Amino acid sequence: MMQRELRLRGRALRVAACWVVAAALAVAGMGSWVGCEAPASQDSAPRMEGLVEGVISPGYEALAESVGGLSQASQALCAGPDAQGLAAAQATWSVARARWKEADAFYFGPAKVARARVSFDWTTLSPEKVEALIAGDGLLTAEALAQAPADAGGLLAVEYLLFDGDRAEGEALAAFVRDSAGGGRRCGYLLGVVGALDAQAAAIVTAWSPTGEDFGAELTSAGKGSVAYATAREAVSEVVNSLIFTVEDAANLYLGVALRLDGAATLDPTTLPSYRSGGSLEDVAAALRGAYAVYIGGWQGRGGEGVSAWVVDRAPDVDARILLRFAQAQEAVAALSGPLSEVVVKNPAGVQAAFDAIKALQTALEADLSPLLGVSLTFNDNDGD
Amino acid sequence: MAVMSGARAVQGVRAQGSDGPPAQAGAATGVVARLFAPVDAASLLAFRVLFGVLALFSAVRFVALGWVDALYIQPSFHFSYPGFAWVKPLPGAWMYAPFAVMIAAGAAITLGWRYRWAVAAYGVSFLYVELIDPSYYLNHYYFMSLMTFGLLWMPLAAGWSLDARRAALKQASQTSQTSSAPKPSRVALPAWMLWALRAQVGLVYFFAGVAKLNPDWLLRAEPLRTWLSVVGMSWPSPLGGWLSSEVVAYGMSYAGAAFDLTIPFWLLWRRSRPWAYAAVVGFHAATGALFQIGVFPWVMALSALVFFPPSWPRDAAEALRRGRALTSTRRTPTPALAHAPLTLIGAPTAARPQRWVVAALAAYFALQAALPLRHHLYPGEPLWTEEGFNYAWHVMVMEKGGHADFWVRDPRTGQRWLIAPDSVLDPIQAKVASTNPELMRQLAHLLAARFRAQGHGVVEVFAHAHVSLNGHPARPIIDPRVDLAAQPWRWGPAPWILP
Repeated sequence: MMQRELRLRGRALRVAACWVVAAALAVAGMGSWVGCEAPASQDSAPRMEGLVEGVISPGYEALAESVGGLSQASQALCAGPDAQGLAAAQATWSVARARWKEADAFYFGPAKVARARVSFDWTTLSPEKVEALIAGDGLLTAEALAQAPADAGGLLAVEYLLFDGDRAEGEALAAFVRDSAGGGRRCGYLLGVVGALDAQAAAIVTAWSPTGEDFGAELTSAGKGSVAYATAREAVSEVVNSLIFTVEDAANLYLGVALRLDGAATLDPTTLPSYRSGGSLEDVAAALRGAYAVYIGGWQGRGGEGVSAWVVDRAPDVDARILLRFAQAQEAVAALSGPLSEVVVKNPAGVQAAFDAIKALQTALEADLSPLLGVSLTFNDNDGD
Repeated sequence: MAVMSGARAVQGVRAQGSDGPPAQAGAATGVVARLFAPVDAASLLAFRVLFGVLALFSAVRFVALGWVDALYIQPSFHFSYPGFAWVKPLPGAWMYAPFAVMIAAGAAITLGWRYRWAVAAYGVSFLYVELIDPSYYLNHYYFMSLMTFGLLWMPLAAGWSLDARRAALKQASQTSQTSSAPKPSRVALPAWMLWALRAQVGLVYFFAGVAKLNPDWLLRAEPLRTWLSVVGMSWPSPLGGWLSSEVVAYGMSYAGAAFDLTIPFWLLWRRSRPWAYAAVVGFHAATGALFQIGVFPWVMALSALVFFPPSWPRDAAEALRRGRALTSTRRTPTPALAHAPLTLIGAPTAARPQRWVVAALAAYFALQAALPLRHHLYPGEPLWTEEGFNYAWHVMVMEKGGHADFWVRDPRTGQRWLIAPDSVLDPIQAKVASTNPELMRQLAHLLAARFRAQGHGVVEVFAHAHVSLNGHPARPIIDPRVDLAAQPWRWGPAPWILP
């Protein structure tokens, strides 16, 4: 009896061994066959590295530099308020604002953790709160103002101080002139807010820097030891979703509001971001620039390892369609100039065309690109089958 | 249903022999006799234990992952199944209550304690949770619902359970001749119970295979090609590259379709069964490792055990015992239990109740065969329209991406509002509603109701929605000229879905 069972077990082991060998041979055979036409590695690490080094880190460095420029120009203005100093400060503000809107396309990681959008770009500013803080006796240091209410700080508070907006012409400069003779709290407020932004921009640069906290390594090691991203798909999703949100905001929060798609009976210009500087359309253009940089993997139209590289691997036609949509959207926005609240009155068809073009871009990114890269919730956040 | 309860069943018919036809069925012939032939209950009892463990594990996992809060407590709105709009989530933390019931019931099913009540409690809780929001529909939730329904009619606590132990003790206390008490571990159940489970599991595989016989799957290897290339990003080179290659995508597509279509038959054939089950385990292990499909692989791999002979748990235990005996110097006696007579439980002996059981089974499985085919009654591709999509085992055949904007217009004032789904819905709902026409219609009704509540009167709602299916270029899915808020739910095809 026992011998028979041992024989049976021996036979079963031989059969199993045969199957294992056969399977190994089959895999090896297929491997060599596939090896002839093996596609380029799908490893996300080199592309993420390219995105970090080619777009994100330079983007935040440019932001920090521009805020530094704004800080210097603000100090110069406060040293002797005049029209020239104000114009210089306004120009540096516009540059900083553009860099910030460009960086919107990669708003994740350290910037998101630090809630930089709240401190840089709270969309509804309260001029009353700004004036109340200036009129008060609180500390106006960068550290103190970093804790100020979101609707009394950020780039839009600086814009309020530097631009006339809906106040009487020359009022911004006049306020600084009065301030220089009356204790300088307005300048203190300006320098404090800009200083807080300067510190935050520098902190984000450090967080992304390889010599600092090196958050870029989290992206490049996604799925291979990264703490922030358990899989490469999570990292890709972060990048692509951020890109899509930027495009969506450019359409809805600017052009959509101008076209009164929020149900407003009449347009309230104060609901448009950057309306005091008349730079709403520049915001839109900058947001599209940032999104395009993430997509192609480089600034100034120089492509590198961006999202596009993944798309080309899988569906070159989708890549071509998205590039076309980017071009059409940027062209439609570039065709508009001036304060958006005025442009929408003079040229509503042009604004509508720009809105439609950005929406078409958003559709291509969400409907064509997202599923292609697995940036969907099909297998995320909940199981799927 | 004329099936006897477990407590009564221990006094039921005693069959002679092991797995042979029942003594009382000597005169009976045909299908009915075969369906009511006693089979060793061991397989079904093991299924009950495994099902209970899975039910328990699934509910614990759902709670532990924070999905009760994310999916049922946080969202301010839920879509609804036709006719079930009255099913709403419980307020706040009370939503944990049905999951607590599921956990307790899962444990009770495993232990066979108050079995019928436990299955009923689990079924009601599970169904309640599933009926709250169709945007969370998953095939394996539907499968679990069907299995729970099936278990309700089967006395699977007749052995290896606290119920059986309690019944045996009760009987022993009532009679001094304990030797006449049935052996709980040698009970038999009518064959239809085993075959019903086999048929249910087989239908899932078979129709999942049928669903894969579409041009995207066969000619473009989609959506597997896309999913594999995404998974490949996380794999080291060159494995990641190979995983993303055309050969692997096509190979897995065809292998997957062939597997689903044929595996029930391989599992039924005695000679191929061990290899087929190894393939089942390998297949589900692979899909479970590659894709985030939760407990689905476990559910199917464990359910497929019903294809083994009804005595497989006993045989496995015996094999283990013998294996140990081979390596042991001690002699282990063969248990007398393996040759003990079977005691049939849960089978009506009269012809009329038997016919009712057969009729009910026939009706149930006719429905199960019809539901996956009902999409042929609708025009268009079911993956596109999602009409006839659910309850049809369209398992892992669709990758949709979409962008939808909803335009609300007040016809009296001409005012317009642009509404993005994610401004109203939670992320999963918004994602599904961006590609699912029926959910878009429901969202339009929600928006209209909210605007009415704000004093806008009757408003029109239009959807500008583009969807990409399985890598095809995105195209409009809803007629943008149709006021979705004015569209009712209908049994027939929705005319506002674009082809």
